[in-house]
Amino acid sequence: MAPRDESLSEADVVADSLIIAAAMTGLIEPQRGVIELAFYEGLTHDQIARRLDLPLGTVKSHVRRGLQRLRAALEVTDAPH
Amino acid sequence: MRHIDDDQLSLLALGAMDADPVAASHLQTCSRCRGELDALRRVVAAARVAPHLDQLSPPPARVWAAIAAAIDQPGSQVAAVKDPVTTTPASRPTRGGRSWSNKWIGVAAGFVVGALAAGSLVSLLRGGDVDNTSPDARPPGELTLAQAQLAPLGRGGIDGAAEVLDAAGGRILQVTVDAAQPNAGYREVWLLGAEDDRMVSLGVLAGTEARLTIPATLDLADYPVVDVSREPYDGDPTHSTDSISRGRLQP
Repeated sequence: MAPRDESLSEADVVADSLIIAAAMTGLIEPQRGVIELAFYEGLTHDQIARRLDLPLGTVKSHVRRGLQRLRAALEVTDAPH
Repeated sequence: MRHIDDDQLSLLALGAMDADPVAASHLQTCSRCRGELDALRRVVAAARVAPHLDQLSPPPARVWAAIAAAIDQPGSQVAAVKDPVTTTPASRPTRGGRSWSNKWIGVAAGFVVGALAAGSLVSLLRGGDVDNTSPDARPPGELTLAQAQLAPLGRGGIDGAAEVLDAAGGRILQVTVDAAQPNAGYREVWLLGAEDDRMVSLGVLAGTEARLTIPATLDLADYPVVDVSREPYDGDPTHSTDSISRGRLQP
């Protein structure tokens, strides 16, 4: 059986993107800003820390936890019914 | 062998760094780390599909009716999805034995929380019910008096074009934009003074095209800039200052 990522249909990708978009609205600042810079500008932890004037450790933690939270949103909806 | 730490996995998923040789070889052999990375990459890929899906408008009632019909659970199911409380992953209700997948229930919930639609899905949900009253083509015999390319402005800005047409009943401003769905609220078309010191509202832009009457006594030399704004339903008829597309009319 193909791994999940390879079996995503176009509809799944659209669904994923909508779920992620909704979940992003649930992130609070500065986590949301950190995640947006990581997603849309492809910045490294260092670059985000400088841009937002946040400690590096804080940025790492926001990226890690933010990603996990968004991932959890996807996986909730993956559960077979 | 040590697993790749979460920070490094995050960076790999984001494409902000390449796997060093140790990590690369570890990923070859460790299904756990590879699985983690794949899951995070899926999040990143989904986010990058549509970076501004953060202000979805609620769909009209008929969409909910269609959803209720599709899942054969009228009433209660839809009410559950519409409840904003259900939109956080932890509190989203579990469902068993339904014909509709949890994923799409999640998407429906996403709409209600107020995230913005990817054009394709919105078109899908709007189906054939799209407003067809906007004109597809210019009636014959109308001369173009002036035109403008509209350039995107700000977050969620869009491209567009505008033409001033000499129509039978007077001058018409025909505005076409590239994206159909307002992020929230509605869109309004304005003519602005060259110095941004004055403005006239011409009307609402529904869908991607509108034909709006320019007052006969309005001198376009005083209002040469076409502006499309995003307007919230806040009861305030003045310009929201949230312009998404703008351009200057040229003869």
